[in-house]
Amino acid sequence: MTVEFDQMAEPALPTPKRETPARRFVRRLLSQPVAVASVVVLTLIFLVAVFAPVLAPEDPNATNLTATLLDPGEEGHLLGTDHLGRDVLSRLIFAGRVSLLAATQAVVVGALIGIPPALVGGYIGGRLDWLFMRSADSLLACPPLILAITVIGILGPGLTNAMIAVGIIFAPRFARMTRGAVLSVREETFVEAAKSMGLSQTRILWKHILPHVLSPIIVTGTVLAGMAMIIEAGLSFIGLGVQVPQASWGSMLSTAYRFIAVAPTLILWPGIAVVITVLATNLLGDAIRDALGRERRPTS
Amino acid sequence: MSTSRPPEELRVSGLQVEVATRRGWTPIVQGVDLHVQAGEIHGIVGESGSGKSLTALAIMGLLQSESHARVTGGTVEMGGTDLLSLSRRKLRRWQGNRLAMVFQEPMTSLNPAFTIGDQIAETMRYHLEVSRAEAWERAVELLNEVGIPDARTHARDYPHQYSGGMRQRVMLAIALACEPSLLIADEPTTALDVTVQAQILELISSLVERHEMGVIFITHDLAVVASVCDRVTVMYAGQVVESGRVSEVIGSPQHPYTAGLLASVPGTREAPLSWIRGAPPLPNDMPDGCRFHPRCEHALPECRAGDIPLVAVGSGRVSRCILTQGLDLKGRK
Amino acid sequence: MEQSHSAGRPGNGGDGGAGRWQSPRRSTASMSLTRVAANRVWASVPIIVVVTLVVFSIPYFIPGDPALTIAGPNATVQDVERIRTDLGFDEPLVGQYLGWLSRSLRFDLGQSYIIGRDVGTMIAERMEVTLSLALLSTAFAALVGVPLGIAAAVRIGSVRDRVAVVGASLGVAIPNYWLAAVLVTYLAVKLRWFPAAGYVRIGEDVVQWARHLVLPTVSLGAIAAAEITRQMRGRLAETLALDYVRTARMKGLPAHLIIGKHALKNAAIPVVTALGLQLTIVLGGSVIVEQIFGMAGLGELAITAVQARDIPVIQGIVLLTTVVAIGANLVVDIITSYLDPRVSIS
Repeated sequence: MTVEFDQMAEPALPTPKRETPARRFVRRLLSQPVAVASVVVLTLIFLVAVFAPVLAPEDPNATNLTATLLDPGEEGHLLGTDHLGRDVLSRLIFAGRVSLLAATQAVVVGALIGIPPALVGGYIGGRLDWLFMRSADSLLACPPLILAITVIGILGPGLTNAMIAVGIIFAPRFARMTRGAVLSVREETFVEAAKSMGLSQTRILWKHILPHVLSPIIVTGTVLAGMAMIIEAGLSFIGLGVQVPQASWGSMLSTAYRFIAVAPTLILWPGIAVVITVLATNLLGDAIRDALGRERRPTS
Repeated sequence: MSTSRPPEELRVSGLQVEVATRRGWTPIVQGVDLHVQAGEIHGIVGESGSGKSLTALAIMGLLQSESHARVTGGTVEMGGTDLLSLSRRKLRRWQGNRLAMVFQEPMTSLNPAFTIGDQIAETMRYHLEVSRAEAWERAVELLNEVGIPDARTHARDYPHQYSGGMRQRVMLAIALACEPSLLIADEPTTALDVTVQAQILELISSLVERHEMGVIFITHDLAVVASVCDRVTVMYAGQVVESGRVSEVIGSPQHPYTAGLLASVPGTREAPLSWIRGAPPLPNDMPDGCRFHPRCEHALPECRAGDIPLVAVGSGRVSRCILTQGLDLKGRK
Repeated sequence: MEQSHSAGRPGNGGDGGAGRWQSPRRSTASMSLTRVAANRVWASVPIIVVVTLVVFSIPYFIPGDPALTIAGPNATVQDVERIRTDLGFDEPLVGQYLGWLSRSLRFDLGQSYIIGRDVGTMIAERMEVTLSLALLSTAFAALVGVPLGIAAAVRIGSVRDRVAVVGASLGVAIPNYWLAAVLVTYLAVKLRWFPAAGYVRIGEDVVQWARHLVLPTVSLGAIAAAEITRQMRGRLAETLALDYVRTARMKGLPAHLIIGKHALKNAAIPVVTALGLQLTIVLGGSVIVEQIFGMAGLGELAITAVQARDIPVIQGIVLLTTVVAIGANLVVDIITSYLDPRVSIS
């Protein structure tokens, strides 16, 4: 049982099969039932949006003034009709497209504005970093919706402008995340190793730092996508987002609210749609964060 | 300020602890017996996973609030009371009072938001009938006793101003505050520098002399056991495999695992460094018969058959090996 | 909770005395609360400056002549010229900025030429509404979220914890204006428990002021409360797993001391910060909720201003709400510094 040092002993335990980080991430992600559920839900929502023309029972814009404000279930309208006799379910499906697209727009804009300066600033440091961070801080200091409507005030109402506004709200959040990740990775030894091998700054940034920065960005992006839906719906609710004749879940909420006295159920559907989608993105974001997290220290 | 309590012994019998794993509740600590007298430093030595820390936590009563470990059998007797049978509320009157514990990580074991004096006094103010001023006085005395210089001033310090060794001294002061009969030290020096280790070990020895308490000293390092403990219990895979006086166990071990541990302690340059081949079994995957037999070079077919009991191999000595008498195991000085 | 020290103590753990037994690493220097507070105030100055710069330059972001934009569609040529000279658009930019800044500091936020009233006055009239709503909603979030979070963290993994987590996750996914609409429909219109619209000044009638604010506060506050619950639960659960909490348990201390004294002090810090954040968010969120409840607050003013491109009003509202938000978060920062163990109170 005691072995002399110069004898090579075989390890008693079998070595585990090599697992790439990507595989490990997917395995950990899928091991959480909540994550699986949110992925399923989001995929369904996405598919419904993509196949809207096929899935919607009726033309969302077809008015029928003899069948206005019908209750759910009446005359074959699963969710009823609105004040112009349009089928609510079909409108819901098509509006979903708009809302989803808009949310994605906002996240992309936010990432494009927020990440590059943070990458550069975080890596280089100094005055540039300070300047970027003060700007980000001041954007963050402003109440989000107020900032959004100000930007819309400058650019004019409209869905794209509204999403640019939301993107501007998101940019400093992306920037903070990115900078934090860059700072934590900057001091790692493998970056020093790369530097000592003479790699250029850009190459280091691109190949070594960016992958580590990617994880918090993905988590942030997922969660912000949900927030984007809520803000977009809010802006459309007050008429500053989506403009007639387009409809998003937010504008449907606004219409429904106008007729709340006579058709109190109208307001439920777009709201529930938003809640489910946002809930799914939030839970997915949490699950991704957990799946990407560091290995816990083994308890001895 | 003495609590004038008669010295109490600790008697642990048949302790069983289970841990929650993915496959359900798995027994880790099985049938551990322990006897610690006042004034005795009793070492528990074993590898990671041997169950020594769990045993300590179980004795201390800290597994009650855990959701991933639970005591499923045995008794922990002190002063005529089985601590395991006490309600949570009654047990709390013992914790910090008649038995206390110091942990392995001094850097994180103190609350950064309160002064060290306050953290020592807190125990006394809760358990004993003392005023704030009295408790503070006693805290200063204790800091002095554990070797913090200029104790009165430094009692107002915050933990983050202190090094690991100093914080461990503070932990000892906290543990001693109510004059416990039993002190459990779970690898108190493992996280410290070697020089500081020696200081803390010496401190513990002197404290035992002065306070007439029993100490359970948990470590994976036999050298520490040799230098500071009176008696030692060797644990492997959740069981006690050997127990006895330190001089005897180390001088002539009666279990192959103990001998293996002794042989792997670095000695002089002439002696070849060795280690025990293999690794301890996983809790879900215990070997039949003797748990050590897959790694034992003396193993015989009989070792695989049935549970191996602890047998007496001398006065106050036990060993869990059926071949003990026939083996000639090498010890150390 | 021993927080007082003898006066005059240097409070700096790093002073090198001869033969000091401290670890070679220089430990975090303890700072006094006043110094930390001063630091924080000083640190917000650049942020406020940047904010003023951005707000000042809003008219310039709109293509075209800023004076024309501000004057609005119904202005005559003479009006535009008057505006140009009054607001200094013919002067160099720096001078313009400084002029605008000094006016703003004197609470002269300019005129709305589109509405025809003084911006500062309009904002002052409506401030109370928005501020009441924002403060009450944040207070609601704290009073509801903190106990729920604590209750969940203490029994982590249990049924009540799971319920709290699910509820809180659901809560943050709900748009506050939707909740407002639902509450108005069912509690105000159908059941008539609360008034559906309007605002009563606190000076006039406290009871009515409260009644009118219940539904709007719940609409805004519930979502904020959900977020606070999540934060509190997360931080407290983390803290309860820490080593020094184990030491407190070892001492035999009762649950209320372990949670209330040892754990909460450290877990509270991120939660207080989160409350500051929620206040900022709610200041914006009230914009929509005020609409639903027909409250004459800043929100209504802001929306009409945006639709009409009334720049001075927009500038005034952005400046004011942002400064309030910065101020509130400054207070929050100072509170968390007070709770921070490394800051001594001397």
